[in-house]
Amino acid sequence: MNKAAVLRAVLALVCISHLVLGAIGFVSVPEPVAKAISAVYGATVTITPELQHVIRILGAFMLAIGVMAAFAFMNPQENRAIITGVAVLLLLRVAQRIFFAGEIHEVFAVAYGRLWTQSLFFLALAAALLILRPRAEHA
Amino acid sequence: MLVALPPIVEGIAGATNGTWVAKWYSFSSRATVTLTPEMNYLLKVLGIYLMLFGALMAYASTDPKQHRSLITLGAIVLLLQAFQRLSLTGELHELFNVPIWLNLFHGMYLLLLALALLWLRPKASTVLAGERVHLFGSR
Repeated sequence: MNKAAVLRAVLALVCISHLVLGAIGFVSVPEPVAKAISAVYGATVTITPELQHVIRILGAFMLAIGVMAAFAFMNPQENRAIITGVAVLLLLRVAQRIFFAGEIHEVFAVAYGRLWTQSLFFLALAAALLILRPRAEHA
Repeated sequence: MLVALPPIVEGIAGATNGTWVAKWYSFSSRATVTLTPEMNYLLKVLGIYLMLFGALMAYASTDPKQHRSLITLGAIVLLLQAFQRLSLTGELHELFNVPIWLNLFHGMYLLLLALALLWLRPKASTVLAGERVHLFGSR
């Protein structure tokens, strides 16, 4: 598998995961949202009406990132900025997981092992996007 | 930049401490927000997405002709937000005490911004006339 194919595979993963989770969040029916959060993040959360509204807003932005990743998937050369942006997003989310690990563990009962595994996974995704993105002079 | 700046500022504030965003919404939307630990953390996640969205909109403003797809996407996100606000007016009033007139005003404002972006973005046929136009590309 060549470099471009791996980049596209990573972008497809980012795209599909954001579109699916974003759609669930945007529609925000409490039970499926709680199940999705539990399955993907290993978190236990009770969806209150207030929380539901924040999840709806988050869902809209996740959908947007999913569509942007689709743009980049279709044409990585022309959408280098989106690839960089998604990589930065993933890095910042890893930083949040590390800085707020205690809070996440306490509030959502996410096991530390799972939290570190997730962080490493998203760090690897971000690194792959930064390493594999087309070079600036070719963009 | 009118589209880019608010999410950048809200995003930076929210990514570090959800309290800042709650205070901002209390001020700008006259909302009564009870910040639970779950909501505090979700606002931090939302902050990251807001920051990225704002940064990409700012990037698009540097060369709108090159980044037509980002402008279209920005308009779609604003449309989704306007739809959420306008369709959930009653719920927002009940949950967060947001005055109905103020919510309608915010919804219409977002709708107008979205329409302005769609109307003012460079036309696909005139973007870099004579060069290739990519369906999913920035050019």
